[in-house]
Amino acid sequence: MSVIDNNRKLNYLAILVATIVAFVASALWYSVIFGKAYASLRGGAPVAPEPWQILVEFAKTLVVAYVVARFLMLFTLTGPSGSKAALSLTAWLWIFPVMILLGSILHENVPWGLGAIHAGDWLMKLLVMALILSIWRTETTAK
Amino acid sequence: VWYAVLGKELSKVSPAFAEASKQRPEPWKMGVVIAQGIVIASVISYIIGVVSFVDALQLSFLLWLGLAAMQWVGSMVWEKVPLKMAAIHGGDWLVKLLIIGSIVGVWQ
Repeated sequence: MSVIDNNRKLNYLAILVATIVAFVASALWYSVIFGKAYASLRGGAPVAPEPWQILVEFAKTLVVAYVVARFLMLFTLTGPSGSKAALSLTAWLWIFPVMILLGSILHENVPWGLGAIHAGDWLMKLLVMALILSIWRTETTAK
Repeated sequence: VWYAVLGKELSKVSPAFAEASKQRPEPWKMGVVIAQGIVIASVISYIIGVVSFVDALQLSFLLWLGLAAMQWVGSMVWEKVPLKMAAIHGGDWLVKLLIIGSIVGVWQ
């Protein structure tokens, strides 16, 4: 059986909600929680984001949530399910941005602190998305 | 090979890469790069599991789209990373993931 063309539908409402929650959590991460450290590591004062940056960030988060939903569906077809699957999947998927950030630190001289803030943001976003998508399990079978 | 081919272009937009390419690569950094490759291959193999070759390629592309490509989009938007640099690194990730995915898809 193809895991790509299986006859299950994604829960697009859950994907949208996961996107919104992760987007807000990420905004808090870079402002309230690590805003000062982030600005300091970038070498300047905190700057208010421009509208187009916010739009691109939302679209980016939506793409990530869609991919997490696809992999969560695949994961639960072949392995554990529920929150256990979500946590496990989060850990595995998180390795990719961590590897990219590690490459940036090693080869592009990105400060460790900046890489750590971004890696933490990725972990938090993936966790939020995977938990919402795993709890809100209304995958339906296509007719 | 990717960075050997595109090294000159990357040097134009990445001062760190331009500086590093003047010297012999440090052994520990090469070790980390190899370790990264092993980790990525292991994770892809675990996440994708036993699927067909075409599925493995599609899933590898999805991994690239959702994680690697979005990471570089974020770097361009928020860190002002030049498009050329993001494209070179993002392209490297796409090629890596597709190669690993196709090997995982065939070798099962």
